[in-house]
Amino acid sequence: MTIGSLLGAIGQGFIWGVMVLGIFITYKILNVSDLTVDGSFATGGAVFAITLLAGFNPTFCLLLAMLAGGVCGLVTGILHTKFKIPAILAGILTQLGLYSINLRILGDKANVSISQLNTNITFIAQLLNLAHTRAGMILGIIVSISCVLLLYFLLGTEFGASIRATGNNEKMIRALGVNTDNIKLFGMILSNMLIALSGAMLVQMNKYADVGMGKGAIVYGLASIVIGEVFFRRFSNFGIKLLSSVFGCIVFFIIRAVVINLGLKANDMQLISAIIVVIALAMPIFKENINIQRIGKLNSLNEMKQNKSSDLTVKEKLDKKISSEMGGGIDA
Amino acid sequence: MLKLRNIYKTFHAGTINERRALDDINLVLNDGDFVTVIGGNGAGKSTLQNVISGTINPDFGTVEINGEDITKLPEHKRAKYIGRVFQDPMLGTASDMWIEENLALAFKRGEKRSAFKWMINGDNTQFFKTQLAKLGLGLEERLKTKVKLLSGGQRQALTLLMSTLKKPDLLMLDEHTAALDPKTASLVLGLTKEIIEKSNITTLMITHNMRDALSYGNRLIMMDQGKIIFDVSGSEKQKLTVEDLLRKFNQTKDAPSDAMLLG
Repeated sequence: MTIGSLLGAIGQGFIWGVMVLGIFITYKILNVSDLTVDGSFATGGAVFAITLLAGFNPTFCLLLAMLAGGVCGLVTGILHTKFKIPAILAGILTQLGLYSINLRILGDKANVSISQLNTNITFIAQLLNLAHTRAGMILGIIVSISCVLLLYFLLGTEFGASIRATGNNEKMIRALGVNTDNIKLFGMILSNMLIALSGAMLVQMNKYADVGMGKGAIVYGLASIVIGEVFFRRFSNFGIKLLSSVFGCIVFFIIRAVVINLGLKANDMQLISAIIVVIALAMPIFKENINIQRIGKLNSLNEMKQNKSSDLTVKEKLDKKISSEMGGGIDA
Repeated sequence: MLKLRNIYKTFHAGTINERRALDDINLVLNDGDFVTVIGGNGAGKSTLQNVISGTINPDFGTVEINGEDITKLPEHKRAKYIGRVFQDPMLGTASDMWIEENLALAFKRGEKRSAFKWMINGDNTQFFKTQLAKLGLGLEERLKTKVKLLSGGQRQALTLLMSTLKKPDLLMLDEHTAALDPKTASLVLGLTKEIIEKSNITTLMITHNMRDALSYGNRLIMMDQGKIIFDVSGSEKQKLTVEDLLRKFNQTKDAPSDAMLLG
């Protein structure tokens, strides 16, 4: 693998890392599975591409993409909190509907090119005299690190702590006066805003928007979180946890680059990431089974020992009996 | 002051499983009342608490606190008035958060939570420490410990402290020592009594333990089939014995069958 493709993978990792942060908010902090991701990621990309083509400033287009993502999150959030539809189903419904909407946004085309237009990445590339992918990496680093910092400070505030508490013990925080429905709604909006932002940045990087660009994004995100957890298991500080999910995303894209380098296709990554997530989720069960087997072995070892020692005690008892009888005899 | 008027609640209305959980409940708790509630399973004790806390809505009737009608307020808006401790020690605290974070969350019960103010800012740390020290469990030295590392008894004591950290107009204890071993239970009950008496908190305590119901509080309520069948306070309550209560219990259980036999 060349340095170039490694740096490319790291750049992709930072850009997708913003999406992973979004998934982290719902999946890890709020403890709800929001599957809107696959749709809202593409919505962000589509809105960015179309508004950019309409001649708006690229940074403004990024904000519009985030706004569109926020609306996606709002829809899922209302389905879940107001209509009490299970979160997973609510997300799937929104995602399904978004496919049609995303096609409409893109003007009934499966993909739209923006290769001739100026973006934040081309701006950075000109400013620092860098190649396109390197400039994309810089953008990814700036945005993902600022998102980590913003989220870290938000989650540490009084309001943010009630978000964490909602994911941790909903009944308790409601008894302390927090409207947990609104917290979930807020979390889903914020999450999908970040996801759409990530999608918009990916469009800048790839220079085109594709209606299928969000396919499998949720699994990529979960895989990244899981990988991050492997590296940062010992840390309980949520700032580190946020960083670890971005880091996990970078590792994920490096693995992806390696896999492609080994001759597999990019599309194989969907299967590989699914397997990574399955292994990670099944790990506690594996560990438990191994533990049970070890306990079984230890117990049987212990039994053998006890059998031996009980033999000994029988002997000892006999010895004692004999000696006491003899002693008694001597006394008498 | 808590005032319940004509509260009715029926579950599964119109089905074969129809059950009247609360049947015309009228109850006034005066400020500083420490009321123990006893009754068999399905007597309506928990439903009563759920109606007061807003977890379920009554079919009819009004709930008032300090003269304010809160019948239509959702659960989270009633938190301003009510502190709660649940039976399950796991339910009262956020396990993945520090002791200090839990206390800080509880200290803002029913208040607006700022998105710009850092929660753990050291302002209240000393206050939290002195409050924790009163529990006598050494938790004041473990502010940055995650609550999941505490035992059930420690967690319940912490929940009790959290629910009274900001004085509530009403404290509701739902069999809060039932899941603890006898020694821990008596420790938590002792703390409960101490905190309630020191701050003169109006309290409604559900219990299955008749001896606890007699030895704690200034008033006792017995429920059966959704009704309050016995309400005694002051010196009259002090004279009560477990035998009296058992007799009362058996009367309620046997009354319908006797009636059937005679009828």
